[in-house]
Amino acid sequence: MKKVLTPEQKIVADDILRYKKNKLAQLFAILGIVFNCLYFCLLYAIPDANMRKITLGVSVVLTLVLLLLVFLSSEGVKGYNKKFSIVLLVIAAFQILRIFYYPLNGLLSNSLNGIGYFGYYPKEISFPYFIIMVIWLVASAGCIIASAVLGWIYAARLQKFQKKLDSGEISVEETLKDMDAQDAEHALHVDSSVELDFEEVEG
Amino acid sequence: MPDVNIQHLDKIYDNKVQAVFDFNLDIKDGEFIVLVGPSGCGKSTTLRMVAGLEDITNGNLIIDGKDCTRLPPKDRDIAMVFQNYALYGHMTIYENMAFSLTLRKENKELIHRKVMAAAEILDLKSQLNKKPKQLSGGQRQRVAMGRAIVRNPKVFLFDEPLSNLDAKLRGSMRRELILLHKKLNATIMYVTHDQTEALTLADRIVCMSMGHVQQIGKPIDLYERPANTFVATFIGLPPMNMFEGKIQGGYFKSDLFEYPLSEKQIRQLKEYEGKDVILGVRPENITRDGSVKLSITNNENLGMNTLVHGKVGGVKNVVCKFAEWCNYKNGDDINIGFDPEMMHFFELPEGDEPGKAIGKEEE
Repeated sequence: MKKVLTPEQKIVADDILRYKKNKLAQLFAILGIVFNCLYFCLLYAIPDANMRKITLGVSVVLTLVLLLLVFLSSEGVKGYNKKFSIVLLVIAAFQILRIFYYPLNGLLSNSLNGIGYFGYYPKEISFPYFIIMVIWLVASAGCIIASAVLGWIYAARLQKFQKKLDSGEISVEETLKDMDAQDAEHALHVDSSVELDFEEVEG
Repeated sequence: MPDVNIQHLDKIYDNKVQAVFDFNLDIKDGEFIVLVGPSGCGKSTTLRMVAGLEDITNGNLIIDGKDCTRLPPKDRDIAMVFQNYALYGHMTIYENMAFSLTLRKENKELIHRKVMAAAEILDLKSQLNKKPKQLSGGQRQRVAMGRAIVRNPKVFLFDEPLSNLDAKLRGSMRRELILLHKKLNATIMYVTHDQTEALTLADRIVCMSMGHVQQIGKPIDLYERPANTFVATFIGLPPMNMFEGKIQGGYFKSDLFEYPLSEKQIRQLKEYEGKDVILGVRPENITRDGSVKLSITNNENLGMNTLVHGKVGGVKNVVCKFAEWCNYKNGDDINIGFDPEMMHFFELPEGDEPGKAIGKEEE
């Protein structure tokens, strides 16, 4: 059963976002990278003499750029930046489209005999090999989509909360004081009559 | 906040070296206790035994009525602040402060409330998203304190927390610690080798030397009524001047000078007539109107007072602290005297044992 939060608890939950990174979204993006690695391990394990051409270089560069982009985006969504969610969605779409480029053509290479792209003719691969490659690509795309969605949701939530804070509609200090007053057991017991004045002296 | 009872604590290491001998102390609720002494006197070892970081060889540790002698550190409900802050460099200030509660799998909302409350107290709210390396030494030490505060522990332990800070920052942090103690009304055990910290912070000071407690008392007691020659020379800056001599016919007689005693002193030291004793006088209790001749060797003007170094009888080094600006030259001779109310007498030390204070009436 989903726990129903009081308005104060909602404010605290949103305020936590200001001090904690979106590690869940980052984790999904990193998982996307891991699945992509599993995919290219299979891809480059194919003993395909035809592949040892310029296409191999293009493929490697593409993989590296993709990994770098996902990693950078993972840092972006961790810091609640919405733009990186869009980048991740584009990358996820690219991962899906890739299925129709190599693995599928590899599976269908008999019927594709004589047809190649950029002078490259994919070697025939078995059906289970094809399925595993597709699974890794789909898993990678799925994780990247999850990362993008989570990144967007939390970033939007934080943005909304920050607007409310800036407009003075809500006050975290007041909310925390109210909660402490209601729940004296969990509050820090301090003598509020003592005023502390910390001097900022650089060490 | 609870009471802490430390009973007959000994620490003997595996190599048979004994670091602490029969340490006894009852700490009252909300009291600020400072353990002070030179390096290697056993003060940090005692603190670490209370924290559970060192095994207790003999004795008992009772916190809030519960015997914690053999309990692991995590079950003692204490928080320790270290000299080197011990902050996690890869975590933000918020995460550092929340870390102990996160480990305990506390509710996120509760963690947030406690961290925010501690950050408010310590004026760290604007720093919560920063990493420790982006903060100054004083701010880092405040984070370390914040990490202790969020746990709401029964006892706070501080192991030389200000030693890494420069003199100016140490001064401001001392004032902050005093206010923090008042605000939290916390029971605190604090270790330092700096007597200024001890005198300014403590409700009571425990002065230690070579593993033994030399004196426990209020700062003013240690300053005005030192229990022995060790405490007399350790507490106070510059240290107390010591002269060996005899009590004879209403005089303190040394090889270098004779000094008349007051009626009260003669009465108090009656049983030491003819015996060897040590006379101790603090530099600030030396006056410029006595019968002892001092040959000046150095004159240090410190602004509001002057430290005058010299020799009595041509051999014994003496430091005087005069409240005025003085301009003595090397080789000048002046006559000095001692404030009779502030003259301290001690037995002669025996072996490693410092000489005990004598002739002071108990209050």
